[in-house]
Amino acid sequence: MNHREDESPAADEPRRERRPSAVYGVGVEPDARFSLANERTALAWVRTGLGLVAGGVALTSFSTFAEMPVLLEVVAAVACLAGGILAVYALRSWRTHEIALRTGSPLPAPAALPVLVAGVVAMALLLTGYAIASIVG
Amino acid sequence: MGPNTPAMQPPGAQPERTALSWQRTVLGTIVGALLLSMAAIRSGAPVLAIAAAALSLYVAARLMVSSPARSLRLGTRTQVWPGLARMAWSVACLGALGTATAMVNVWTSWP
Repeated sequence: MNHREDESPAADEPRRERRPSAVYGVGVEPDARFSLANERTALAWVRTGLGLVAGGVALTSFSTFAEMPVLLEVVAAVACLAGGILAVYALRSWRTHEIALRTGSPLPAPAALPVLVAGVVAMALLLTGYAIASIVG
Repeated sequence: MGPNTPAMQPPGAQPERTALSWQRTVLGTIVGALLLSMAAIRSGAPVLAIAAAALSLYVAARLMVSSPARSLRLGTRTQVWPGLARMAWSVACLGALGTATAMVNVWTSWP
């Protein structure tokens, strides 16, 4: 097991402080596997945000060919905004999870997940309705 | 010496998986920024197009050339947060540029 007090690092440790101190100043070094898993989770959240942004970019690219371009542009703007927010949320989530790993606390629930799902469902319904209206109207 | 030096690699190929995760994220961001740049050109917003292209160059320079992926594979990485923050804020920046492009389109198509 890899328990090392942060107050007295080994003699061959580089003397550079790890940022952020709010994370690394607390608790002890967790198993490297858990830290790396946390990092991959954060990157997965960032990629989810990136996916939303990419969807928004695609919508705004093709809205000129569409019937109600303003609606599509609004959806695109919201998607890009949500994607950006999700990417920043990834950072906050990484911090709280790393602190929980270091202090041995239970991991917090992914608060953004229900919101994300609701948002994606809402967007899908909106665009489905738009598509049907375009076919019918 | 950190927890990821070659002598102390955790089992399960985790540094490799994390490196691959980084590569996916960085490449996706660069491609997304370039696509947005093209969309902005089509929308007649050259400032946004240049900003998006600059963002793709920044991500390529800061996160692909000196990449967390490579330092993970070599076991030379000492810090997680700077790269992660850079990555997340780059995507947030891309989102902001995307929103701006959509708003430009709404503005120009308003009768």
